Amino acid sequence: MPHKIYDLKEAILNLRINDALKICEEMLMSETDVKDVFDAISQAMDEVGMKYESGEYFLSELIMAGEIVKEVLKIIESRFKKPKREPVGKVILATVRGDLHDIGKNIVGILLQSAGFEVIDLGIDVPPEKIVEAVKKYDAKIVGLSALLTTTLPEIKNTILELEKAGIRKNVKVIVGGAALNEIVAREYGADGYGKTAVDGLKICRNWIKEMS
Amino acid sequence: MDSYERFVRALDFEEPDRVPTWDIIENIDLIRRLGGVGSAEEVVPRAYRKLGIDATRWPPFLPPIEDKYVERYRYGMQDPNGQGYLICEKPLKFKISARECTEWLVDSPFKTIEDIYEIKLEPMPKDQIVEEYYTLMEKSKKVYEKEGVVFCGCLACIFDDCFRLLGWPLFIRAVYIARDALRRLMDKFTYVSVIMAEVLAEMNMPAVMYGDDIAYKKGLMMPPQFFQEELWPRVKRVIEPLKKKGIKLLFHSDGNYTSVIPDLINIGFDGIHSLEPNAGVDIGRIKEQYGDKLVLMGNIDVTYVLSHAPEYIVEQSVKECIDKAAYGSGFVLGSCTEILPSSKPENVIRMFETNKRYGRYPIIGNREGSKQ
Repeated sequence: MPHKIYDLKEAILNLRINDALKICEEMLMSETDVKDVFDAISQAMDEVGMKYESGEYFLSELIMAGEIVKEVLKIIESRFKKPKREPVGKVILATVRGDLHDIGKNIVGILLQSAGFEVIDLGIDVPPEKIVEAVKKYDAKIVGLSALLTTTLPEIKNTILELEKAGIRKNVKVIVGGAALNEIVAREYGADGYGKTAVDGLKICRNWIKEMS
Repeated sequence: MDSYERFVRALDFEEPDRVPTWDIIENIDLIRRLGGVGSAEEVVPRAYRKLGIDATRWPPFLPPIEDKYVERYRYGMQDPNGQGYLICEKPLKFKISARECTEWLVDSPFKTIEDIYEIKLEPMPKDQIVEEYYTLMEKSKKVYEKEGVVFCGCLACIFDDCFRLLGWPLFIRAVYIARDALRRLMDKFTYVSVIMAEVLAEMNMPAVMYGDDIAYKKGLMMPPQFFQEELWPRVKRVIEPLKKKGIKLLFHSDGNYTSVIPDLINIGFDGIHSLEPNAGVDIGRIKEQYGDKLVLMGNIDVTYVLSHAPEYIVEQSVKECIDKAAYGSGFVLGSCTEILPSSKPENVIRMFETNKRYGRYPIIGNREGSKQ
C-alpha cells in the first residue's frame, strides 16, 4: 500500500482529524489519483466498522471517524467538481414521517458512502410519497428507513405500502433500523432487512448488491 | 401494606408483601381511561393508583395530543419542570418539539466548535431555581401522596442534556478537539443539578433518581474512560447532598450499561433502573452479580411486550422477571423506560395485574439451589 494511503487510513482509524485533513491535502497536491483517497477512506471505515462491531470502538468513535470522513470528502469536492467513482449501488435514506431523529441514519449514510454507495439522504420527517418519488427519480435499489419513536413505527409500514401502491416494491429492498425496532417488528411491517447497528446495515446492503449483480 | 412501606422495604432489601412497582405513564389513553376527566394533578395520580404503581419520579402531566413546536430561551430538555434552568442570550433560542411526551430539541443555536466557546448559556440565579424547583417538587409530592403513590424527585442530567444541546456530531468533535469548552458546559448542567439535589435533600423523600442516557441498544455510547474522567466526578458532586441525608440514590439510563455497574456502585448509587431486555440486559445475571448491592428496577420490554405482544406474553415476561430478580427483595418491577404512547393499555394493565397475583412474597424464584 502506498505510503500516503496508509497514512490517511491510519489517521482516520486513530481519529486524528487534523492529520487526516493534512494528508488528504498533500495527496491531492501531489496529484495522487483521487481513487486512492477513496480507497484509504474505504479501508479505514471498514476497520472502524470492525472495531465497532467487536466492541473495541464505541458509538462516539464511529461518529468521530464519520466526521473526519465528511471533512475529507469536503476537501475532495472542493478540488474536483465531480470526483470520479462509480457507485456500487444507490440507497435512499430517510427518517420516517413524524420522527426527527437522525443520528443512526447519518452514521449509516457515512458508512455507505465510505463503502462506495451513492447515498440520497432525504432527511428527517419524510412522508412516504417523497420516498416513492425519490426511488423513481434516482432508480435506487435500496431504501433505508429509520424510526426512533415507537409512535412513528407505523410510518415504516405506511411507506412500504406506498411503495407497493406505486408498483415499485419488487424493485427495491427495504432495510429498517432505529431504537424502537427489533427483527420481529421489522418483519411484521414488511421490511426485507433489519440493521441492529449501522455496521449491520452496511453488511446487509453489500450482500443485497452482490445478490443483485 | 401501603405503597410507601412496600417500596422502602424493597430499597432496604427487606421482603415486602409483594414486589413494588415503579413507572411513568406517558400514555394519554391509559391516563384518561383510569384517571377520568380533570386537571393533570387530579387524573394522573389517580391513574397511577388504579394501575397499581407504587412509586414514580415525574411530576403529573398530561401528554400533548397533538405535535407542538415551541421556541424559548431556556434549555434543559430532561428537567422535570419541562423548561430547564439554563438561559441562552437573546435573540438566540431553542426550537423544541413536544412529540411523544418527551421534548426533543429540533434546532439549537450551537452549530460549530466556536459556538461552544462563544455562546452564553448561563444558569438562572440560584434563588430562582430553588423557588421554582421546590414549588414543583412539593406540589407533585402532595398530589401523588394524596393517592397513596410515592413521589421520588428526579435530578437534571449532565451528559444527555449536553449532547442533545450540541447534537451528536458536534458533541463528539468537542470531545476530541474542544474538551475544555465541553467541560465548562458540563459544569453548568452540574451546577443546576447540585442545586436540585440540595432542594430534594430537605424534602423527606425515600429515594431520588438521577437519569442520564449514557447507553443504547449495543452498549455504552462513549468509552468508559470518558465517563470516568468527565461524568462520574460530576455526578458524585450532584448526589453528595442526598447521600449525606441517607436518601437512596437510583440511577436511570436506557440501553445496556452493565459494563459500568461497578462504577455506579462506587459512586454511591443504591439502585439501577431500566435494565432494558431488548438491549441485551439479562436481569438474572445482574441479580446474581450485584443483587446484594443494588436494587434492580424496571426490565419489562416496551418495544414488543408492552406494545405489540399478545397478553399471555406480557404475563410470561412478568413472571420470568419476578423469578429472576425478586428473590431476597431488592427488586421493583415496571416498564424498562416509561409506559409509552405506543404501549397497549391492556398489556400495561396485565403487567401490573400479573405482578399483584404472582409477585407475592415469599418468592423463591431462581435463587441459587432452588431448581435442584
